[in-house]
Amino acid sequence: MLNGKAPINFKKAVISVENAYYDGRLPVEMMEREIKRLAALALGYKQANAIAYEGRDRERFATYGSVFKVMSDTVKVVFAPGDTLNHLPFTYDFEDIAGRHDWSKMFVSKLLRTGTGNCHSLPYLYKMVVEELGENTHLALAPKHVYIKHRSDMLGMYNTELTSGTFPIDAWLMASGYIHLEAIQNGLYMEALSDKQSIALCLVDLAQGYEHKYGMDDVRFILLCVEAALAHYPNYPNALLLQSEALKAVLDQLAQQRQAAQTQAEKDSLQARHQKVLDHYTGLIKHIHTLGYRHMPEEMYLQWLASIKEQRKYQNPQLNTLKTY
Amino acid sequence: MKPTFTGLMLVFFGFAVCAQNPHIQGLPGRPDPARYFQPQIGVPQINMPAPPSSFGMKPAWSPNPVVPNPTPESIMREQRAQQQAQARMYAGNSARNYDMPPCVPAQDIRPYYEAFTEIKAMLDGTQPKDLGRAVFLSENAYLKNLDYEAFNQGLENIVFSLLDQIKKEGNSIEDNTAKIMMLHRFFTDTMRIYNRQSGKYETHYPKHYDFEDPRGDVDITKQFVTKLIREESGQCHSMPFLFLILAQKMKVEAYLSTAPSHNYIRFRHQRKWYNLELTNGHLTSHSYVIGSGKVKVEAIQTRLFMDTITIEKSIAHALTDLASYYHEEFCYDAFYRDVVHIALDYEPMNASGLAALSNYYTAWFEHAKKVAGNPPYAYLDRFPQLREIFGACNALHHHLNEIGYQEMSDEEYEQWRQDVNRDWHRKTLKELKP
Repeated sequence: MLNGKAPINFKKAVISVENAYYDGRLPVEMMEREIKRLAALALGYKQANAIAYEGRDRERFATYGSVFKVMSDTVKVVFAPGDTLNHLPFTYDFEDIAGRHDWSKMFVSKLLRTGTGNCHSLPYLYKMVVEELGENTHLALAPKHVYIKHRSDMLGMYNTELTSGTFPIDAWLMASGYIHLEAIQNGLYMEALSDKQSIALCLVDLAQGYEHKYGMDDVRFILLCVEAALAHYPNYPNALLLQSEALKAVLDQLAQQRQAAQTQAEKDSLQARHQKVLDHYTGLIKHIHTLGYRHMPEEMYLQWLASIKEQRKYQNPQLNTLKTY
Repeated sequence: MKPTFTGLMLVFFGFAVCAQNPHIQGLPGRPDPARYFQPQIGVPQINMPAPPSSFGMKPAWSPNPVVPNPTPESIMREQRAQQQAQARMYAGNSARNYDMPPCVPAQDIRPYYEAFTEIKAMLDGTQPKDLGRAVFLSENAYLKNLDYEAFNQGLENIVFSLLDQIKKEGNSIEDNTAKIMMLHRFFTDTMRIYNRQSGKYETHYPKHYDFEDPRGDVDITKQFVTKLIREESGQCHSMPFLFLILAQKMKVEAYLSTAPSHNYIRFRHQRKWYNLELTNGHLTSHSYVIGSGKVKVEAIQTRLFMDTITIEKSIAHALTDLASYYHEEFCYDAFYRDVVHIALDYEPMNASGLAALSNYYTAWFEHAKKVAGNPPYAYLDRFPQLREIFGACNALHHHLNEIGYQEMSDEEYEQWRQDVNRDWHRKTLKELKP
């Protein structure tokens, strides 16, 4: 898709990445059906409920709003008086938010199966359902976080946060303290990602899935994925970090091999290779730091995530007052 | 900066014109400003017949005209005849002159024109770039009774005393941070300044925030640097500009920075950037500026807000101020537009300049609509100039959206004012003043 040899399809990319992790045993048709079902529900909601928005793009805005509603709030479907179905929202899974112990926590398939997800799977599913309905939407990145950005005729760009079902202003993203001004100016975070950049995200997810399954003994596949992703999204922080981790693994292996080497010639050649990789690694670390990346501890992340609900000043006043009839 | 941007948004949404060409340079109407000072025979009269009221059709400016309920055939025939008559009536109006008429005869704008010429010469490089002189010229064009010598000498005295004080405290006057801290002290502390003309010492008190009409909506002179110097109270426009004027005289490296409806100072110390909020004398973090100023990420990426604007480039901001003082005294006309255009040429990411241009386009559009006889939206295509102006409005609005422009709404501003009100530092500063 990135090389233009296949049409860009975010849903297909995400499903194939998760399927790879499950060695091809993912029930793909069920996932597709589920996404279509959510799209149909959202469409039904949109047709049944008008939204108080007067912009030229009110159709598109209503699509965004209805998918958001379906994912973040209970939707009542009335078949007949007394015969109501309550479609429950998706919620945040606080256990193992980074997928350290179980990488599948990041998956959309897990979200669909259990109804709980995290800041990785929830925006992905949102994007997949919105695109199923024929509209476009953008992912955006923050430290350890993915959210949604939309363009509205009346409001300009605005943010949608699926994990808490709110519309935070940009100030909230920066309030975490881990997004420097330089990071924004360099496009490291908070930029509305293009379709190609979203596919690059999937490629790095694939590499991370590989890492969780097979470790860093053979990093060639990881580096292949990461380099392909960086070709289309040069400042993607996760790709750069994964690349640095892979290079670190290579350095460790080279150091071990050098220890175990029998001849001086072997030792020298390994030393030379080690030095080359080390230079590359140091340059990369410097580059990541210059771009404005700063490591964020997990406890701080959870605290920051909760702050959007606790502090009204971070919520977008124009969107919070938008009513549905 | 008048908050008519919201008005522009409310007027223009719902229209089906494609918004193209986000670059300001492509927009229509940029004649040579020098023609303003040609003797005018008289303001061109536009004699417009009002549409006859018996037509019963209100000029509805919307792409979705109200569809009437089904009526008997005779009434429909009558309405069709009325529409045809109206189409014939509007047929001849496209040849009219849609330019904004000058607000006043050319002689009356002479102070503004002279200020404009001199500030433009600074930006061109044919005159030395002196921010103090540029600010003085723009304010004096409005007040017309200021004395430059007195103004400049007063500033020089301050600079002399501050540099002297730096030396007395054992610091070097080449040390940028020492000079910035001394300037900060001038704004936040009581200081004795030696008046070299009178030979006496004067006491200068901390400059505090003037809570009465800080945006200058009622009295625009509240924004003036000369008012800040005279009354020792100012707001978020005058305080940073006075800081930069003194900084230029002291050869300090400091920068102007902007947020929605706000200005502040940025400077560097040991390769780290710091923000100086002069309205309360605090050093603030980027997060504070973004949080309190509600800055959008797009504005940061496009450098519209929170950028580092050099003192020389700030002179373009003084030109935007000149335009707004001109509007305050007179109205929107082509002179106003050309001043704003020149300011934007030198500083394209100037939020107040872009807002000024947007306000102008709104007014121009309203005027052009009247000239055309208030035709319904369906007839827009018959008036190519009107369509061009309309397209320009939309394109500018789209551009502003794309670059992340926004104003502080009145509610947000009131909230911010109350927050600053509760700030204990304000009490402290008031206690310092006898």
